[in-house]
Amino acid sequence: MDVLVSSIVKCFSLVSGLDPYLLEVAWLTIWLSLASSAVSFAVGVPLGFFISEAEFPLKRYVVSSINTGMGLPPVVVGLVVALLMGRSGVFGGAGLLYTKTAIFISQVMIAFPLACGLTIAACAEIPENLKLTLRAFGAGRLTTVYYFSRQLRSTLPAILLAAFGSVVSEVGAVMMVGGNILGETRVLTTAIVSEVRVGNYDVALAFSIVLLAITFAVNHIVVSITGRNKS
Amino acid sequence: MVGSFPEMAVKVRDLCFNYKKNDRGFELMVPSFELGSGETAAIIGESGSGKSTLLRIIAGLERGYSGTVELFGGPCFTDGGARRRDLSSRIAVMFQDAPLFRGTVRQNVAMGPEITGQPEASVAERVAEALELVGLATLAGADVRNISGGQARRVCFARALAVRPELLLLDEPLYSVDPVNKDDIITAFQKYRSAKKCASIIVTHDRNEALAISGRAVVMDAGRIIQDSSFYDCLENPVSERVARFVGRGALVYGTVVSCEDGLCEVDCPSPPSAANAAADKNIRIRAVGGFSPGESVCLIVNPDDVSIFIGPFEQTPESSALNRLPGVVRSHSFYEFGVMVSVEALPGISFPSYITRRSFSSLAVSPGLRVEISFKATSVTMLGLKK
Repeated sequence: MDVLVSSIVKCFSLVSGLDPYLLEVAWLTIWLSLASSAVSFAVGVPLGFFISEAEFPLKRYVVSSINTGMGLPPVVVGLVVALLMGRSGVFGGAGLLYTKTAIFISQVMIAFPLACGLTIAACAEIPENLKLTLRAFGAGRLTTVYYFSRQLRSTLPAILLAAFGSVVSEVGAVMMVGGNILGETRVLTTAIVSEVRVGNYDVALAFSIVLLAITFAVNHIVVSITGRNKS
Repeated sequence: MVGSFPEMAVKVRDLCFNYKKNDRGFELMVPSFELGSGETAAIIGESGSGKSTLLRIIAGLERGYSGTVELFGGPCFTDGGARRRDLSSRIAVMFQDAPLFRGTVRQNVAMGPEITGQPEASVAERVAEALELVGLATLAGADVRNISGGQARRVCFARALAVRPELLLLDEPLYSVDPVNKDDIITAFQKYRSAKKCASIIVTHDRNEALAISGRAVVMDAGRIIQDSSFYDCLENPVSERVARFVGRGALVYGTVVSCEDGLCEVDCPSPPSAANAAADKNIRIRAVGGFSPGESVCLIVNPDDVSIFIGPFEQTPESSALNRLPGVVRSHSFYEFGVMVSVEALPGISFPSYITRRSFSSLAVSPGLRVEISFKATSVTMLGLKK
């Protein structure tokens, strides 16, 4: 109980004092998570629309692969990215390991299947006759995507939030490919791990509260915007 | 147009299509089907008979069939396999279960003209015209989530009309629609059809709906067209028991020919085994005209318009040329626009509907449980042989 109270006090002191360490880590967490989830959403959703509507060989396997990707252990993603970007890896020469770019790539690899797979699942719920209506009017791919987006406008924000949630809370892959370098690649989750390791439970808990606050704020903003659009 | 002949809106030849539905394999076989410009046909049949599939093929929404399907004198698909571009603005399809996109009524109705690339002014004009036709002009700005199921159907219909199609394909447009909305849709359809002279195909499993919209009945069963003729023909001269069962509203009675002289057959009709309390030794004899031999199994069709009702005392019922006179009990009645359909049970499981005027209904004081006698002429009974 003492730790909880002291961590809340610590949290307030860090936030009110605009602690540079906290601000830096929180800022990196926010923009990396937003960027990777936005890219995953921007690529995954249209691709999901396309896959759900297109007929091509092995479609079933492609969908199964994407669904598997939705449940991919982040540590495995981190390991693969680390191997690819390590010195002896295919992209070793680019020197990306332990950089923000590596974190971004691994986060996209985690969030992209989620955005794509959830879109495919959502499209499956659109009534078949609605899709046929579009085809009967001669709707092309872009028009179809437009109408599907309109139809799924309350589902799409949920997909975006799921993508954001999957990367903002991620620690294994980020630790592995980012290296948790202070001032470079340390984000809130890896910072929490570091602080726990050195016994600073109050600071770790304070960071956790900030992480929760960020997640809540992003969710609230997205829900408010979509709620306003609905009304 | 070729010479002075009007262009055929739809022409199907040697169509064969195998498809799966609910993991069951189906085969659709249509050797020939034609629909002239301005003509209306109702495709009727039981669920799973292939009506909607045929409609989708005609709309160019299904592929992988053999044979040819031509719309307005040309194939549905280009050589490259793409659906012909002009079809989007020449035909409109209304699917069952009123699928609407989220948004307002206006946005939904505007879909067709917008997608087919109409200029903004034309879209607005078409939307206003279509909504006016279906009587929903005042609901243009309403969210589709806030309208009733019947209104949603009308919006779907308006969406199809907004394309100003030359061929209107309607899949169960009136299914589970309340009478008021049903009338509105039928009226709008008739107005549009007479104004634009468009060809139309309506798929339905409701005989009355089909009758209200079309004079031509295309009866389908198990993926085949089993009769394609006027409704009158289907009612009076059904080619099979299936057609009679589906199109007709008369009694279908099954029996065995016991004698046949000079074309007048006497048919022994027992209570169906499924009928409750059916006694094995109970049966009725019906006289009908036809060229059958004793021992043959037949299906007798008696139209409600041919059945007269008499109330007692029956001993005083005058002699007439009607060779069939059967005692029975009134079981139910239902009111129609111009008359009353009275169901008279002659034996458990064998009922004869009789369509009488409202005046007769009142003067005879017909009510459930009333013992009556029915009569109909042997010449009014349609006899169909049953395959053994």
